[in-house]
Amino acid sequence: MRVIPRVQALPLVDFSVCSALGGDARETLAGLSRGASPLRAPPLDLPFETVCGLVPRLDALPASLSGFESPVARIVARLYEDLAASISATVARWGGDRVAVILGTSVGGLSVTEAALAHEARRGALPEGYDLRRQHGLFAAGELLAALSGARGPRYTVSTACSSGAKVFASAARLIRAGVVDAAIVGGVDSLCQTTLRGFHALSVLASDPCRPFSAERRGMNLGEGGALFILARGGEGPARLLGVGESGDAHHMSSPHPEGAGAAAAMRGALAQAGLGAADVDHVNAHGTGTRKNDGIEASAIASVLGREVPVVSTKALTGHTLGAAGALEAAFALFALREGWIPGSLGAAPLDPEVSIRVCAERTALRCAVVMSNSFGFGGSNASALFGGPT
Amino acid sequence: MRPVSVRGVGLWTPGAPSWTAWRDGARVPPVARPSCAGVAPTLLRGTSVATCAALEALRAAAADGGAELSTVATIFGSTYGEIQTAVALSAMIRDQGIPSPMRFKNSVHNAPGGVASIAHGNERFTTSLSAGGDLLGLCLLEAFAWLEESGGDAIVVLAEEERPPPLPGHGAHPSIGAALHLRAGEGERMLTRLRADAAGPRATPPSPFADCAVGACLGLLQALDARRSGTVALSVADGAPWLVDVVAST
Repeated sequence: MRVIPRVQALPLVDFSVCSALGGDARETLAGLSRGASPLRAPPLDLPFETVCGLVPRLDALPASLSGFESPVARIVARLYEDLAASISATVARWGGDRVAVILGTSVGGLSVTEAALAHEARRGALPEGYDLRRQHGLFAAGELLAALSGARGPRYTVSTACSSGAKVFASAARLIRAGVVDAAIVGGVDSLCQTTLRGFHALSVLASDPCRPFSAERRGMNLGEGGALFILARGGEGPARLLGVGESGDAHHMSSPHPEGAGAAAAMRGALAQAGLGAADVDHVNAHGTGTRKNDGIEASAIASVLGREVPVVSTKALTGHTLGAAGALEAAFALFALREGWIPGSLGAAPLDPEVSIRVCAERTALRCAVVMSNSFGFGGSNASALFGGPT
Repeated sequence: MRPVSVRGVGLWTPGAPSWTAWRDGARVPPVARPSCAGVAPTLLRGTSVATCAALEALRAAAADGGAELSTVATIFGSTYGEIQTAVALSAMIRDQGIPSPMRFKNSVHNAPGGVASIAHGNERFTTSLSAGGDLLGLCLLEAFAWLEESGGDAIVVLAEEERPPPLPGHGAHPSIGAALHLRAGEGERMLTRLRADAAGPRATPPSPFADCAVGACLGLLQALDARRSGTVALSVADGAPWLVDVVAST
């Protein structure tokens, strides 16, 4: 059922991605196709067992930008490297002042501050060179990207926990449609730290083995690092289009989803309404699918209520870990792969499917021609975002 | 973008717990955090000063402008967000190994937005932004762009808590929360021509908020309160300064 879209679809000119599956788009795509979990024990001192998604290679920043040094900054630099030519062309086409930088992150450079505070506890002073603003600030990733790219338009960070990397698409699209800018570098990045690993453990939702979203045997989630960047523009050619984004709030609980999935369903309906699409138009859903008992069941119910029970659904969290503020962007990249490749990855570990999950979860890689893909991202604070992507016109 | 009207404002600081108290210099003995009337005490467990300051400013702006807290869109902004909680969690990890789950779930940057949505049963659009010295201008930009498409009302809420030791800048400014209730379209007090201008002036917030991005709200609230038309500087630092024109009918 196609109706008049509420908003204009915008081209995604190019994108870059890195995750535990690989340091760039080619490796990540190969890892998605292979379908083996790369999650492993993190190189961190922890009083419990877990596995995480670790990006294979992250180089130190160049000396001129070393003031930004942090794991999340290295991810930004890695992603920029692969997108540099397209960003340069975008800045040249529209002018640096007309290109925004809008990134999502939840953790930012917290691991640097954790290390600095531990240093202070041992030695009585913060380490020399510790820079709260450029290493800890959630907005620092955008400042680094602006410094690398020459984009001089509005620059800010969306930080709504695990929906951050999806909500950036909505913010950027609004700025473009309002005529404030002509293009935006958008995306999400996040890294591992003690606070999130131990915090999720304290909430009793962290699994010791690779997570198994939607499975009857699921025992919790894993964390991961990574991210993705995209160029969203007023015009141009690209591998995909942003069709719409739905945003909603659960208004229920800080860390548990609405029991009937009302907020998740509202976000999905909002995305469909923006795009002028009906449920039958959606070919595939990359679910939030964290692997916790509560979240997966509620999301499955919400998907069934909005899109029906037959749309092929996967969670890719067992392949990457949950990358928190980056997840919406990372899985948007997976949505773009699905639009381009003619197959969707397997939802690793989903078999045996939870009998209470009454949607079509594809446990194996599946050949599928997709014209429209939805990506769901739900976070603490009841923050929900669903983004719809379509192929090039 | 089309102009927006300003329907109401809200402010909380430890020694001047409302906009009128700040404006009139009516100082009271500082309190650590506001009481957050209208928010269930159970919801406030484990929340930070920043979250409480934001909730109080939100409540005040909604009351001043007549916004319905169960349906109004909200844009929250903070430079360092839940920085006291981050430091407290690190100390818990060092001392006990595992942080408090209650503090952890309220450690996200969108804790104020999450708590507000739960407290008021508001399922509508909310977002949480972080930026440097141009935080106010960029949060207004997000609000302008949202109102341009969706119409209706939105409240921009900015909050910054006192930075804890041993972090750089601890004690540089007290905690603060400020909010503006905006409505799409024209009104008696309007904000127009929101823009970044490399040649524009920086905001100079009064003491003790000179170095605080949220302190830039004080100049804007003053201009709106006095119905003084003219350009207001919104950025205390970073990049091309953000400016907005206040257009007020007297």
